[in-house]
Amino acid sequence: MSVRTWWPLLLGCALFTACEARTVEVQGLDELTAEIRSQRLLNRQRAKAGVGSNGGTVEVRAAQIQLAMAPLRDVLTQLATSQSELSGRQATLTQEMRRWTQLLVQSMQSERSDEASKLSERLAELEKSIAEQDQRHRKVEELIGSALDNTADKLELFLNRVGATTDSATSEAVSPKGGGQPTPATGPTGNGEANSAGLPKAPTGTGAPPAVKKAAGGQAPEASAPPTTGQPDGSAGNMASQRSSLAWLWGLAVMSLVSGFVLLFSKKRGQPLAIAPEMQFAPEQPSSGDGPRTPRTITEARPASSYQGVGDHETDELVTGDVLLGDLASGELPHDAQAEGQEADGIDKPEIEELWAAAALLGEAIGRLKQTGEPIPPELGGQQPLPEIPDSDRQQAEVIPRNSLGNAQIDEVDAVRTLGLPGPDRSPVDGKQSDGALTSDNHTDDTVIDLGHPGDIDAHAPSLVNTPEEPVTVITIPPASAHTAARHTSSAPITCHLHLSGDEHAEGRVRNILGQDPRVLVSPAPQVRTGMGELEVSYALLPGLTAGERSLLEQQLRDTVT
Amino acid sequence: MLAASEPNPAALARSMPLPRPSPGAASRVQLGRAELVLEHSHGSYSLLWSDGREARRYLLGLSKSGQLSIELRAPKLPVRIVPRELLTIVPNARMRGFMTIPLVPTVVWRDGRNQPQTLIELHQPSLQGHWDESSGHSIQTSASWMVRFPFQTGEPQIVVPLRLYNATSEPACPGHLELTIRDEDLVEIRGSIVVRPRRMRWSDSDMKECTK
Repeated sequence: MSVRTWWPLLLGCALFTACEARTVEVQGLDELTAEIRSQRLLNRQRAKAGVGSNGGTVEVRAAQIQLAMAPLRDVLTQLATSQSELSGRQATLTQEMRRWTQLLVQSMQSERSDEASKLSERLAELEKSIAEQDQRHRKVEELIGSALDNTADKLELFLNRVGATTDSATSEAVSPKGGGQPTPATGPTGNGEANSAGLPKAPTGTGAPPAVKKAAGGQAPEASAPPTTGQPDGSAGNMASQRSSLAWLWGLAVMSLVSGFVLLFSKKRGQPLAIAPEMQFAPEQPSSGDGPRTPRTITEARPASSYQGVGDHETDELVTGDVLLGDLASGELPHDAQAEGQEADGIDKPEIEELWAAAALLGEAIGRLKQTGEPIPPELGGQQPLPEIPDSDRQQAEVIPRNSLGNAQIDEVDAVRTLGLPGPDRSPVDGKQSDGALTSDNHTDDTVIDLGHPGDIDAHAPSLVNTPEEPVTVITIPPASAHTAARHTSSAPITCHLHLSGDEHAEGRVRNILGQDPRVLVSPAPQVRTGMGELEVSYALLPGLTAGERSLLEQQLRDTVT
Repeated sequence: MLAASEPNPAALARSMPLPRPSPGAASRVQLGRAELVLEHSHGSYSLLWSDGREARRYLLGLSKSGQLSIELRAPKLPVRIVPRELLTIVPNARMRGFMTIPLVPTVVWRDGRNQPQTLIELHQPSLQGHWDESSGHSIQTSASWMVRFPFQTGEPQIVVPLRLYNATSEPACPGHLELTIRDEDLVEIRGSIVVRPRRMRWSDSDMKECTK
């Protein structure tokens, strides 16, 4: 037999023998595997039963715990690292905050110092202007005084001359009738010696007014003649006739005085006002005639309604606010007797105070207009003109005694009446007659109902009649369409506000209660805010709930927090 | 005491008497899952309401003449039903079905002259109050659209037959159905409280109830 014949046989024998040996090994391995499995099962059963041996189980448990804790350890490590980083960042931020605070404080201090310096400069300017104005006042007073003295001297000199000429004429007329014993002079002419000794020697005819010159006629040169030492003796009828003949001279003297004052005052009004540039509420219309005027000169300089530029000029003053609003309230321009009386009442007040008072009143009026939403009159920059004052109010305003109230108060009342604003007697706080004007007219849709609830319940829209000290329950009907109102007959929801002491855990409990209670409206949603250890709870309730139910819910919330 | 007649314990009645117990005793009324227990002790009455999850306790002072009753009343405010399913109606199509609205159990006191006086309204948690500036107060609830008359479960609820109609040329998909139900509309039929079928029309992106 060849090799090719025996080769498959040999291969088959080898395979047979090999398969036999591996089968035995596989059987052994199976046995081992089964044992291990049984041991594992036994261990598991023991572990479940808690009867397992200590050593191996503890090792297994320790290994399992370590294995389970491995990711947690990593997480803890990362947390510690991030915490350290966060602490470092916080420290850095704190330092930066401190720096910023210091910078802010420094900047504020510097700004305040700048403001203080500006204010001091401003104050110095104001004082300087006031001092200049005071000097002008004094100069004007000196001028007026000197003018008065000169006028009086000239008038007396003129009267003396006129009296001398009259005496000479009278003596000429009386001397042929009876005797020649002179009697001492009585009356306005006085004694000639006294006049010559007491009066200064003034230039003749230079300072006298034209009317006086005209009245004196051609006898002025004779005035330089020496006065007579006495008068011829006469009867009482002669004296009366002399006085009646001198009456027109006295009238002329008074007229000359008045005309002199008018001239002086017209000069004084031409001077510019020092405080005018300081006015800020109406700088676009500077008044031309705002010179420093004393109440005396005003009273004497405006004797008649035909005074120069009363209409336009005073209207400009009213528009620019240079005149007190009390003058506005009278409804008449200041050229009449009432205006004179009002201005004469302010004799002791400087004009600066009046201007500042007018500015303050104007500002207050503008503020009230903004609050009430009423149309602004054109005097204050609006479109609608001022309402006309009824005669009854005007008379009432005139009846108010100025001495009983301060000028500022009267001006305020007048301004309020003029502008149609709620005055002190109409303030909503007082709850008087004008409450309706503020609440009923402007908020006719609101209905305020006091439910007498003990809690702090209020409405969406704050009411003007509520005072902050009294927690009042208010139901406000919102403006809605007629269809909706008729369909729902509903008002604004009753909103309750509570301030409770609690933390975040209490917040969760409160939210839970509010979310589950069917008496609490879902919309608008209840709001719970936490801050400074307090809970600010706000929620809306179903309409028609009794006070007991509301209180019960509130108490439930309080109990939940505590 | 059961809420309905003996043959059908799940049947509802609009008004159920709540007998006044003798001193030391109690009377019970089953109202769906909830139960009301009225106890008389030491000159006062305590009413306990519990639905298994929540319990409320009320104290009553009652005079000698008069009686208590539990009345099932309709919600006073308009009800906005949000369907739990998506409703879609093609143009010029109609849809019929039923929806349920929870009733409000109300404890009513009637004196000797039979004058009803509302004492307690047991508001249902499924009725959620809402308020918005345009429509005012309303009650919102969710309900499933049922094609058959709903099975009686004993829960106090109104069965509202609905007929929806889409009169527009666009498919209608209402988000809610707003109904106003009054106590006079409630009808007690075979142990259920129903109202007359309501017809609603889709227009202006809103499902509005048709009024005669």
